[in-house]
Amino acid sequence: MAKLDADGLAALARSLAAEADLTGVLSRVLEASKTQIEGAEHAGMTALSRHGASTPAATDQLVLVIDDLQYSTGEGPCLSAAADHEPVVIVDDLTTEARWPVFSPGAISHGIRSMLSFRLYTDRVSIGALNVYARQPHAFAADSVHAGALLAAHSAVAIAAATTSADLLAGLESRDVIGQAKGILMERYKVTPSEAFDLLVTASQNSNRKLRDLAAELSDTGALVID
Amino acid sequence: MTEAKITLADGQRQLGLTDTELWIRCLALGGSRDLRRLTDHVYAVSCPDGEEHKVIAQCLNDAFVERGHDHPVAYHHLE
Repeated sequence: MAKLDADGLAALARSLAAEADLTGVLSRVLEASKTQIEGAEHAGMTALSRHGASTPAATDQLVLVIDDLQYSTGEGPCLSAAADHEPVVIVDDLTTEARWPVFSPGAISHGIRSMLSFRLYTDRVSIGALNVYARQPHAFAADSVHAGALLAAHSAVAIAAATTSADLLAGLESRDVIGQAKGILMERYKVTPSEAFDLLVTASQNSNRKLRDLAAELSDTGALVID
Repeated sequence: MTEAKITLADGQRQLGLTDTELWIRCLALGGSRDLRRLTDHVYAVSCPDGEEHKVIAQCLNDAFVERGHDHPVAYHHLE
């Protein structure tokens, strides 16, 4: 196993920055988790949104099963790190674990005994958690915790940047659609760009629908109900 | 239609949107201000640009619509 020293971290940061999209970044993070955190057999990421917790990336099916168990019971190390903002959650042996009485027996039944969960965050956003799993009890030593914390910090920055890039790309596509809709309205009603935007705003208010959705509909079908 | 009644700053705060998230949403809706000018506008004592105000308000209201609310942010500057 490669030692996660300053040079290793620099190489990791460069490789994360070189990924073309969020999927690539997450894949690289999980790969690094398994190779750089001694004892890690499985790895996954918990993401938080207003819809709740989910696992957008995992090394294998077992991670999805264990994570679903946490999300359905509302407890577990991943949620403690992601939602309760614990920087690092260390689980040495789930058979003696008292913090998650519902989750732990379920995880044990799937063969998991040790876990580490690292909160993923930046100064501005809370992303979720990076999690590693092992079948052996006491699989993670202090060095593993330290390596995981370093990896999580770099990963959080890379994930936040990739997410912003993805949002920007979607934003540019949306801007194009709205420009098309405004153009249709300008031609149809002989109005200025500002007045065309006002018509979309009025339609959004009257229908309680997002302006972007109305613009897409108008662009696709030519239809817009304003009143 | 619900009567608009909260400011841009209150809307952003209630939604929990970061400045960058709001800026990207405004860009998507046709806004043209950079991040600094956008945040200055949101917290301005008086409205620096009525047209841009409408774009920011609509961005926030779209976010409220996503969460099941109905356009609570005012399209004009509130004292």
